[in-house]
Amino acid sequence: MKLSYYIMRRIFFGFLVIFGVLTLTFLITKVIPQDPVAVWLGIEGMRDPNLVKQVTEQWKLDRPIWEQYFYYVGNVLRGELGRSSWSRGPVIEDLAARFPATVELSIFAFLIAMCVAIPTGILSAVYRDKPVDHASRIISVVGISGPPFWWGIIFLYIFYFQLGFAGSGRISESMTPPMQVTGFYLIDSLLEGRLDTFVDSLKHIFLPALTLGVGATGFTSRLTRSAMLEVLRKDYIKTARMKGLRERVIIYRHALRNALIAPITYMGLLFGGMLGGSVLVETVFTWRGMGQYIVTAIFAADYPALLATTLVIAIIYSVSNLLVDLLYTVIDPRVRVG
Amino acid sequence: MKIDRESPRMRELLLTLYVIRKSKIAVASLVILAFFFAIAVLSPWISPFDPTETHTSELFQPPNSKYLLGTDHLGRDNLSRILCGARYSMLASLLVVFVTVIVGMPIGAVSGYLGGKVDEALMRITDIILSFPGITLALLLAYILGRGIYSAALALSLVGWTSMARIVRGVVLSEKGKDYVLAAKIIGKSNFQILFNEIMPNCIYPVIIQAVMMMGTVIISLAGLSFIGVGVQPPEPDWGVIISEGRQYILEYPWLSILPGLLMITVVLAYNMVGDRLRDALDPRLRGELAAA
Repeated sequence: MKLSYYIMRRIFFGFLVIFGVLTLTFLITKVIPQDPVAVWLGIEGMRDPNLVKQVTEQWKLDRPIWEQYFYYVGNVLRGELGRSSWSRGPVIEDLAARFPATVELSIFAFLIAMCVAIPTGILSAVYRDKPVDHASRIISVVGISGPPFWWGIIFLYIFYFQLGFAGSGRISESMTPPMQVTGFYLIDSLLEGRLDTFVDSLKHIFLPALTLGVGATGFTSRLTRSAMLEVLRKDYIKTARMKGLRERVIIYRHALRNALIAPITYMGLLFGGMLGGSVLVETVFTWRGMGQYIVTAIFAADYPALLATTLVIAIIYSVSNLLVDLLYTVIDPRVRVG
Repeated sequence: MKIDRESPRMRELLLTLYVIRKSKIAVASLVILAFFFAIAVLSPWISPFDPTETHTSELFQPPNSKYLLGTDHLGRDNLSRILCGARYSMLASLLVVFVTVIVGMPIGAVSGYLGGKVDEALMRITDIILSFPGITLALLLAYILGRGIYSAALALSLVGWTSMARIVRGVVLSEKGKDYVLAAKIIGKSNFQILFNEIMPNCIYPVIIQAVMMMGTVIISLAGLSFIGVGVQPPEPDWGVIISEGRQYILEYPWLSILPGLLMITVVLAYNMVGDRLRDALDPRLRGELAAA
């Protein structure tokens, strides 16, 4: 009873926040010192008063502001995110191609980060003040302290220019990308049964994902370490030791599951942070995702594209936070009871 | 004003300073930060050249007696550019964090103290702001206000105040039920007096820790904005700009990009080390252990 109440409340607030995000982006369209009609029609088009009137009416810009607001929200709900003033096509189509690229990169980066960070965090705690601990702590803190775009450049320099690994982009220029089914090259190439494409895109995703994951890896490994140390001091661990349980059982069965709650709490935040970080990393690796799109939009003064992408990123971010909060209630019994 | 060394607040301060001083890493980090701040402030006087002055006949010079760190693709002196670049990284980040404290602290305090509808509304606003990754909001603002260091700094402040507000709110919430607040109410102090004279002093350390921890991320974010071209505008010599410009020549002249990054790591690392130690020094469970060690 209480749990379902909590979940409903959380979902309600999640929607409220998304609604707030919509309102904020709407307000931004109103304060941008630019006439959307002029942007769309260009100088030539603005000379024709009939055309101006027609577009203004079509976009309901002559209506009161609250009516414009409902029009905007309605459009967004129907997936109408406006037309790019650069490519002239609907923004939603541009995003449909780029959205999977960013999500694929973020998921991959997230997996790398977790697979590296959680084991090293645990090792660090179990072998506290041993060389393993020192090494992993130094690497974590240096990783966090470096700007991600700079790590990207360094990785490119070492792995691409010096070792000839794989360069920028999602796939080698000599290869044709797989047919878009999911938009994830790694999945689509397998669906087509093209192993060479799969290997090539795997090589290409590795460096940007590593770059995007550097911060999250350092952060999570530090977090896991301190959570694990905290748990290992608890009385029930002492009890388990006194019962004569093997150290392996104590660490992996008793301590680990409690220590993992802390990193899980931050997973939503980290995943969201990757969406933000992808703006920089995609620029470094010319990865054709949403982050690169948003930067191009800024320099092309393409504000429908800019706003729509911001909105989409904010929605993904809120939803991932919502999902993690819900996951958290399932994992941590204290939330369920309390 | 006479300083009472025995007052609880003074003793806490002295103990904290003592614990920090015992850590060699923390002291070294403070020295490093002081060094970089000195460079940032003195850069106009200690730079051997104007950082934007081009020497077209001396492109990509290796380090020599005239140009201690060589020159870049326009023949500008690398050393001068790096010294002047410290200005943006060190001082602009300080400004951003200062603004987040000034804005975030009172909002968090009022939110926590008044509770109810005010609190609910303010916290939902922070939720909305936090549901944008900081950089996208910064990009939007850079678009609205024009590219440049000021809009980049403003954008980061607009995102940053929320985390400061939440921390202060948390402290106020946990303090406002305590006896001394009740006592202050009984003797007839106003809400304003109670909040700002009685409760707020307890927020100072958490705010300082958060501010120090934030410095690193702000430095990195500012450099990132400059890197993609919406922060500091070339030819001004921000470290992010230098990294971005050096990227085109990475194969032949990797140091153009590598060096500013290394400096940035040094500064951010120093902030993180000071922040970590400060947090430990103020943790009641750890401080005794650390002071005795």
